[in-house]
Amino acid sequence: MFIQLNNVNKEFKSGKNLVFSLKNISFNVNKGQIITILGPSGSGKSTLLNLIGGIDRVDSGDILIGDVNISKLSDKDLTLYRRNKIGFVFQFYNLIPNLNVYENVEVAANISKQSLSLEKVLDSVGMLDKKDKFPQELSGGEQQRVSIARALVKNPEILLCDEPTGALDFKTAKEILMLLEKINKEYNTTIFIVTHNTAISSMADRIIRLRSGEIVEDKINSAKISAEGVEW
Amino acid sequence: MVLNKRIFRVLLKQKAIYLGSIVLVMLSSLLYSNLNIAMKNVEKNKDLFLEKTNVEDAKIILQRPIDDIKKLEDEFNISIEKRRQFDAKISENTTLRVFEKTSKVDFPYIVEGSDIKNSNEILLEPNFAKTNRYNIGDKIRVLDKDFTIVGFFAMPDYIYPLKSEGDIMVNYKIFGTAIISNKAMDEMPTKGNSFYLLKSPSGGLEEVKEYLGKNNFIIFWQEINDNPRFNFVNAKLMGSAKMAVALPAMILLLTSLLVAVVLWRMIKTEFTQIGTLYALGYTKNEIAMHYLSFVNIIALTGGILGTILGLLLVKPLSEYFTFYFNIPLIDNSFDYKYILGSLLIPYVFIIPSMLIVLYKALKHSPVKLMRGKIETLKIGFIEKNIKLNRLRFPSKFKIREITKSIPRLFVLIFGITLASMFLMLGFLYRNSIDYLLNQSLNDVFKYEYNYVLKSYEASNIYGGEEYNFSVFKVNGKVESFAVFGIKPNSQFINLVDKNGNPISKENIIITKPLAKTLKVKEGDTIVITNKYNNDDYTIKIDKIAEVYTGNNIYMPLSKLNNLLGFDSGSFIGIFAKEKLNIPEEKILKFETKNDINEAFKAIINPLRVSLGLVSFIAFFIALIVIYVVTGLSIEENKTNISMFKILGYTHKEINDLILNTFTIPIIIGFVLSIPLLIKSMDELLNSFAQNVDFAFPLKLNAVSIILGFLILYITFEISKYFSKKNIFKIPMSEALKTQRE
Ligand SMILES: Nc1ncnc2c1ncn2[C@@H]1O[C@H](COP(=O)(O)OP(=O)(O)O)[C@@H](O)[C@H]1O
Ligand SMILES: [Mg+2]
Repeated sequence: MFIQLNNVNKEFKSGKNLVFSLKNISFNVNKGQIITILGPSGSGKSTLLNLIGGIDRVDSGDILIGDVNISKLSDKDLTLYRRNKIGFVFQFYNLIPNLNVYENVEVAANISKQSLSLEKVLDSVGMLDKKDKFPQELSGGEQQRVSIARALVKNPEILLCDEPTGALDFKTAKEILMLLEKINKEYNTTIFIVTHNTAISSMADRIIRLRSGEIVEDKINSAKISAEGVEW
Repeated sequence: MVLNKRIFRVLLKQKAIYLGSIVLVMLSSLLYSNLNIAMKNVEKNKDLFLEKTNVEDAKIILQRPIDDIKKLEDEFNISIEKRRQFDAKISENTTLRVFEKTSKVDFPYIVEGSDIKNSNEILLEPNFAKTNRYNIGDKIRVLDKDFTIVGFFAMPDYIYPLKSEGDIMVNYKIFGTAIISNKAMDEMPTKGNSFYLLKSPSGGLEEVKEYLGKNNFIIFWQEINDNPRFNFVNAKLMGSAKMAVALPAMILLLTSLLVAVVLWRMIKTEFTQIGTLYALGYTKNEIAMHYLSFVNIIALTGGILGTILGLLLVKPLSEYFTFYFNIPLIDNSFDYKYILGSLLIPYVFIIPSMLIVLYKALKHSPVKLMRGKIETLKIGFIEKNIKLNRLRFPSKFKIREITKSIPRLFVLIFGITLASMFLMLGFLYRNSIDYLLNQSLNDVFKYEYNYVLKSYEASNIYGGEEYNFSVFKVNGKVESFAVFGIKPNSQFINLVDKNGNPISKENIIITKPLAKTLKVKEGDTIVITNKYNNDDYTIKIDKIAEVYTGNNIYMPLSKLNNLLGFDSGSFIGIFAKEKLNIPEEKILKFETKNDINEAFKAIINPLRVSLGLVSFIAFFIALIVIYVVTGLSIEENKTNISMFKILGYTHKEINDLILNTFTIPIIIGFVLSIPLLIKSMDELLNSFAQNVDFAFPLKLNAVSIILGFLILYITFEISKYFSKKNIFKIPMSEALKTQRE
């Protein structure tokens, strides 16, 4: 088992009031799979992703990546974990506005020892010809491609995508999904896609559904189709 | 207005930035009110003092004494008073110059205690008394006679009590002045020498000068404005007055730019809110007023605090000033227009820059503003065109960050330059004095003792090396300078050209400061006028000597004597290596090289306070500017920093990217400061060097520059230390937050 979550709990409080909690989350994931995490807004999808990505820490329970229990790591080692193992893709790209495309990808390559060739990565996300452009000169889909390139260039074992198509139109969204699928095949990257769009789950190997911080469904997608066939 | 409720919330949220701005405004208000009011106060007191003591118009020495003063006074409608004086060693290193009390001209003003009534009473110069711990009621022994100190005095022709006129600085440790009664002077065993003090209510002294020149033969004639003991104070006041305007103006300029940059950043992040307010029906003016209230708080708080502090420090500063210049503070008063100025000037500087920023923001339509960010995301020309491909990523990031906002870069460089100029001022002063002392004085003047006799002599029976001199002027250019006739093989005067090569003393040589004021070059011919008999002489200048002190011309002794029509061996002064055996009644003036050196060494000490203060201000300005600019950068990069953290950057790596960005601009600011400082100090000195006969050599040595940079670097590190905490505090969720918006 590549990723293993055992009884993970996480609470958010506002003063003394409990605002939200992830309750007893447990599941296992094999290497190289695409996993979609579904659920309505506020169900805890991002929270779960952040825990796996080492952005946040569990209150209790364990998250094992390979044979490392990241819930036991020091801050410093957790940073190294993010640096070496994880790629993040967000809904709103979070590119640095005053760096051009190439430099935005370089932000990640700069700290990675196993980084892939920048040109190659930009080529595989289809942005090589725009490498001197600045984010605000790009469309949303293009910006997302850059942000995927930034995640990818570190050659991470796990790619965590939080609503990667949430701000994109249908056509662009599908192109991004196809890109993620391509990456999954080419690099054998384990990819989490968080979405509230059920249709997207049809391209996944695995579908986990959350509601109010609890797993209400966890199934293997036996009817997996290619991203190109996803419709909504 | 409801809006205003948030003002304090915003201020508190970024307290360091606003506090920094307030402190800068405070500093400039403090300097403005304090320097101006104190200088005006000193100036007013000086005028009052000069009036009260009936300051002389000229001081003269005659070969033949005046027989009937009364007759001369009536004939020329002037006051003449004879004043005897002598120098007495009261300890190994300390000389007291004792004057007899005058009653018509230059009479003493009693600063403390009472006037002398008996012949065993004495008045002392207060700074000398303080330095050497003499109190009223104490006894002081002068030439084997005991005097009781009954009071402290000030006199107008010794405001700046230099031991000899060639000195640059006073030194109360080795020299002081005192006054005794006429009767006591009669009883003293020494003859000393005597000056006539002339005062003409109508201002003209030409006629009496001509008369005396014919009948009594003038050895020495000095008008009050040529007297460095009198006119140094004017130079100093003039310099201070310039500083009193320039310093606060520079700091305020910096502050207004800094505040503009801070508020621009604030408005930029609030475009959406401004647009919404617009849409809600708020008028442009109402919104502008809201933002102006931030400025108001900065200007008002800083202005009031600075003015109050400034006023509190008026008295100490006036007193500090009067430590150098013996001007009694007869009537301390505040000039109220400077208080008003001190409160208003911050507004004058800050409001315009603020209005420009506001106009820039408010010219957009509400819709455009509500969509926000449009304006802020424009890529600049530089960013678009700069080629960074070859660089490593951290360098690329830093350059991008520097070029992101040119106004911010400008403020940073300007601030660092200004701070470095303050910082280097102390070093500049110190190095220059050292240089003046070593290169100029010790290398040029090799004698240990310098005697000036009361009358010309024909052959030197005392030993040492004789010389002659006379005082000249160049009409319309220089009021007075000395022409020395020295032995062509002189061992005691060592003149070099600007390349450091010795100049043969067969030449007619002019000192650099005099050459500068007369605007003469080597080979030029000038007409000089003898001050004592008004005869004109034409001389050709052969060489210019690299000497910084003294308005002097040197020529061979025989040449000078020939020029003046004296016997070729005539002399009035002697340079010597050892102390000579010259009867005291023949000596007019006697100075040792040691006195000069001592005086130089002593000036640094009292200056420590003010130079220390200036350095502290420098440190503060640098700290605030660096901290605010870095703070802005952190603020702007919040999301990026958060993103760096998510990507797995360590704190060290982030700190390097964000905090070391400004290393290069800071170095640039520092490097710029050095020529700027030297240039501006040169201008400042030049503007009042006309009356003062030395050219201050401005020198900064490598050690000082390195030391100055080190201090700046430490300031930078301190600022980084505080900023690190702010970077550390930024959560990773910051980058996630924006995606929720
Ligand atoms: N750092 C946080 N502090 C407090 N509450 C949070 C924090 N992050 C998320 N929450 C709350 O937890 C709940 C789940 O959030 P999230 O995981 O972002 O949901 P989803 O991504 O499924 O929309 C929400 O109600 C949100 O307000
Ligand atoms: Mg979410």
